Amino acid sequence: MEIAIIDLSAGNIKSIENFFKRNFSRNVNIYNSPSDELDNSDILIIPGVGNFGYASKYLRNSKLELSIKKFVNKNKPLIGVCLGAQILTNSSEEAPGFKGLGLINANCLSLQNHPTYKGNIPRIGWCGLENNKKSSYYFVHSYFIDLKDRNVNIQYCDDGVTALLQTRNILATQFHPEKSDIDGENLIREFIEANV
Amino acid sequence: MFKRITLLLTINDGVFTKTRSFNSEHLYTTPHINYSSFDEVILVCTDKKPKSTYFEFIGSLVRELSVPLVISGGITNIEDAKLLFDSGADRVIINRALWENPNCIREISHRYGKQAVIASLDFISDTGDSLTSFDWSKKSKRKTLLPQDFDKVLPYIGEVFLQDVDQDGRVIGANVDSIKKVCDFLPNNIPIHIGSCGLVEWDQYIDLLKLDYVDAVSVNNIHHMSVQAMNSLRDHCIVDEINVRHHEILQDMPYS
Repeated sequence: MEIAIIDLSAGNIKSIENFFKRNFSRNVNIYNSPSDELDNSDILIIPGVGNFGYASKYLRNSKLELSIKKFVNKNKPLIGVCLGAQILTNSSEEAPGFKGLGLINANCLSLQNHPTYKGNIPRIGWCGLENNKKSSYYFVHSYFIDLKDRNVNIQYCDDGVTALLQTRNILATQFHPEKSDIDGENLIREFIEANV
Repeated sequence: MFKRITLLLTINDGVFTKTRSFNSEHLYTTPHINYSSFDEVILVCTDKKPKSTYFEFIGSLVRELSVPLVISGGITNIEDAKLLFDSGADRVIINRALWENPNCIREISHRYGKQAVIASLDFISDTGDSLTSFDWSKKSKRKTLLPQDFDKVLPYIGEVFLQDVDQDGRVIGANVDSIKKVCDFLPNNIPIHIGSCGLVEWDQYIDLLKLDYVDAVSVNNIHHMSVQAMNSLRDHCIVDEINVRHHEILQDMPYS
């Protein structure tokens, strides 16, 4: 299995690279520009850590935006993590004027405007899911995905914040599965087994 | 959200170091520690400038680590921060730059997001009841507790990390009143992370975790680093109705 990771030039590339090498495949390659090898990979990962505006500009200027869209249109599986999940949406209050990839019909809003979350911002730490109390995942973010598309499978945390979205061949996690120990590994394994 | 119990490791020239004396601690090494018992791992570098041995240590850790990693290491500009992120940091700790080059904090935040930027405040008792900051590079007290224009830097900081220079490494317990006093100077909506403050007794961890504004407390005593010790602390927290990850989850993890 060939795993491709997009280098946003502002992410925790090492963590995500080690996570996939350790648990899934030695064939993990990192890309900061379009290439045939990237197009031919079996699964594509957009990692987290970073600023929405910086990532948006970087994907556009590097022309990786087109590669990602082409990859998804071939029905190949894509995983977006944290900022990598948010960049799949249309926009973010973190960087007004910068466009996301528009692969998920949603916008990212500041947690200050969240209807139920009243905790500290940034929201940092581990949290369980509303419908799965046994697992917990690591979050570190100041913005959340506000979903418009009802056809998307969505899961929330205990405090009402969006935890993950799944639509067709796309898995978008607000949390960091690569930092969520065995629960993160199990979640990604399930998605890969179902889609690759 | 669960309150976090984090692991703080002090590293000098690539090896574990006792705080206060800063002598190398060769009695324990990475295999002695159950990293998965913790909600984050924090590396504090005491080299004047991080050495290659520090990066070798980070490299060996990140290959196996499956929980978040926070790294410090003399960040004074965005290139220093990039080096640590590229090495495997999920978040970085900034200390000296708060005083010497606060502009770089804005730059780092714009690139990596404010949630990835932690401001470390090392405090020490001054005359009377007041507290002031401690400058490790000069090994002397500063004139104030907070840097000038700290308010202007705050929008680019995701968390404040506190270290009590008076209490750290003395194994006599934390001065919870001092910690609360420092927190009074900080805005009430920024997450506070209690770092090396000399905590020994579980009750002190619990006192601090009960505070609304405290999101995390670090463990940096070797006797607290086993999975049994962590389960014991988590049990104490749960009895006191503090929302922490339950140890039943952790019991399924490797090495437990």
